[in-house]
Amino acid sequence: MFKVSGLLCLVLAIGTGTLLFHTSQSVQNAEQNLMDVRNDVVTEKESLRILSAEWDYLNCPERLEKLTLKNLDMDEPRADKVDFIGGEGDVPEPRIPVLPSLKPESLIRHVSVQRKLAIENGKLEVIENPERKSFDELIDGAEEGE
Amino acid sequence: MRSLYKKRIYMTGAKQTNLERARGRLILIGSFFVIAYGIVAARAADLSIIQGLLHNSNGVPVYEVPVPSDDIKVRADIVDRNGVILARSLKTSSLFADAALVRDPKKVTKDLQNIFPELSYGATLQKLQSKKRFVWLKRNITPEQQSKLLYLGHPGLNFKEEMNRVYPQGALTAHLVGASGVDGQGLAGLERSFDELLAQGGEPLELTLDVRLQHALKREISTAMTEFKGKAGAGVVMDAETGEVLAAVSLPDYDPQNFQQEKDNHKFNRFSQGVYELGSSFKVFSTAAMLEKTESRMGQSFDVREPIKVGRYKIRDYHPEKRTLSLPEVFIHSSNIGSAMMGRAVGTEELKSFYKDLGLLNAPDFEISEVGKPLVPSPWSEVNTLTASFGHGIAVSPLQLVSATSSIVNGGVLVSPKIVKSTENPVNKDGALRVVSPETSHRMRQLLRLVVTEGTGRNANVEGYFVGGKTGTAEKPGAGGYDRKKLISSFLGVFPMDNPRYVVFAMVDEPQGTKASYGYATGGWVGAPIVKRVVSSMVSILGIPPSEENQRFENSLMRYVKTKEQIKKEQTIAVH
Repeated sequence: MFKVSGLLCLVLAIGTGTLLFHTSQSVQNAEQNLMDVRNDVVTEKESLRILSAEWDYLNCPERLEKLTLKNLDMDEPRADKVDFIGGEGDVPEPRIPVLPSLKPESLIRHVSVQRKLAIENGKLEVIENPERKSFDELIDGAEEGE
Repeated sequence: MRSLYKKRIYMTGAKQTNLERARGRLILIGSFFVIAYGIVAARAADLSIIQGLLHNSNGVPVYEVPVPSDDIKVRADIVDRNGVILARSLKTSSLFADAALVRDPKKVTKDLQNIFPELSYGATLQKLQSKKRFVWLKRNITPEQQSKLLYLGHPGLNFKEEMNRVYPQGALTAHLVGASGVDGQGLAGLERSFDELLAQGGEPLELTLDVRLQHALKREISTAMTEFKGKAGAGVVMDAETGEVLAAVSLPDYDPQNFQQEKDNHKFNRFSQGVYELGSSFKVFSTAAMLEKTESRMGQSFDVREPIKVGRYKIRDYHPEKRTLSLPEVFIHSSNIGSAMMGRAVGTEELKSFYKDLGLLNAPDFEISEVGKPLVPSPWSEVNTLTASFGHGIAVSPLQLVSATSSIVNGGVLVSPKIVKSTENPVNKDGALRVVSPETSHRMRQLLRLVVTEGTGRNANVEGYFVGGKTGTAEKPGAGGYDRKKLISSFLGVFPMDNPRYVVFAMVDEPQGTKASYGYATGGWVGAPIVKRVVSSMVSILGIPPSEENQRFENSLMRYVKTKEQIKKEQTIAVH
């Protein structure tokens, strides 16, 4: 009887000891991993801070304007060149006013009187959204084409 | 085995039982020691090998070391109304030396000079020979420079991580955002006035500024300064409803990264600190006072044929009309005599209190500390009332002028200039102060529009956007009176005039006339085209559609304005 119970106790003691050791080690490993991930997050956050500052530096209006005038066949924006009717596909999207309107009623009336009359009299044809693509679609399309 | 067993068999009785018991105990004790030693050995291996890998040199488990930088207070960012970063603190390395450990100071100095050509040889050598345990050699170096230094491997050179303030927009927002020193303390602008708050870190400080509008305004003022050879320039774009400053420019400007080395003339903030006699733009206020405080009618006539004499002063017109003018005509032809008459009709006390209500007699409450106090005549005599009616003898900052104009054209509710975005609804008009009645505000809108359609501000017109405004040309006061050749030419624009939303002001200091402007350097030739181009840019940047009413708008004040033909006709009748 003693032999069996002694042996059983021994096995149990070794078993629980091993299990405890294993658990303790895996907890420490997990904590180590967590620590690594946290450190990575901090490093990534720091590089994000630098990159977003760089992004705003590279996108400062003065530089963009210089590059646009140099590399693109584009003119300076002038009020008489701006058409707010939309639908022709030549107005770049997204066209969300960045300063939210405080007086929406004065900003909603897009169509000028002359234009309205011309449309009503049938002199001007209005094309409603001709295959207008979103930026995402355009980017996807460009990647497929490559 | 078998023989042993056989031997045991022979033992019988109490002897045998004792022996067996003793053997069992021995085994038990033996195995206890084996297990105990095993545990000790396992624990020793755990502590020395496994735990050793997981602990740092101080014996603290690595997983208990606090994660860096999340706890460090990083100076808060400053961003514009769209979240564009205007100022941010980034971690950079700074180079210092433990001079006692530097073996060959001359060689180290030479190597350092190869990497940092701007370092002075003598000063650096002196530092390295000083044997001091800590001397700064170069603050905020780039990662590339750092790797070059590490490659050299000189003992005694060390790096310390520091926070460096960067301004991605450079000089564009310099006068508003300001600058900070090498230890992060604010030196100018919002960096100084919000120093404590920014130092606490946390959420970014959000401004009402829009860098795109700021750029458009700066570009146009700087173009005009070049064209008219102006000494300096300033401009402000304000939301007339809320008083939010959308752009504010002072030229020449400075690089905030290099604040200490910049000239004082460049650091001077001309839109809020500089006070100027702004000339005819002030007629907006004297005319509003006339409409608000007296029983005046639009058809009321002003005899401006003769200059007004007050004591030894004589008030004249720059472009005398030499006839009797109606109230709108006085405004659009910018008659000093007519405006002085209005000032006299309003009265000294009334005019003073009106200007005070508009915030023109005290320094404005603005978030940056570079705010100028207006120069107000003291004592204020009758002649001051007359000159203050057309913007002479009283000097205010462009910011004050713009916010007072906003208060008049927005329907008559007082606004104060602000640059930090408020969390409350900016158009909340509960408890707002009314400075003029809606009727006066409406009349002023009509008058301002007339200046652009019929008067001195024609160069500011933008088709479809209903710009109104007032020109301002003031002679600069110098030694022994006003200098006729030194002007401050400005234009105070408002649009869209049917429901004013934006006030745009631009001024150039000491512009010189050009061939294209027929030698004129007045507000109409210098300031008005700036405002026109700024409005044009704003339209596409902010996506403002042209006003529908504009197509069929008729200014009801037109019936008080005589056309050239009418004037000619009247003159011929008078001659005959």
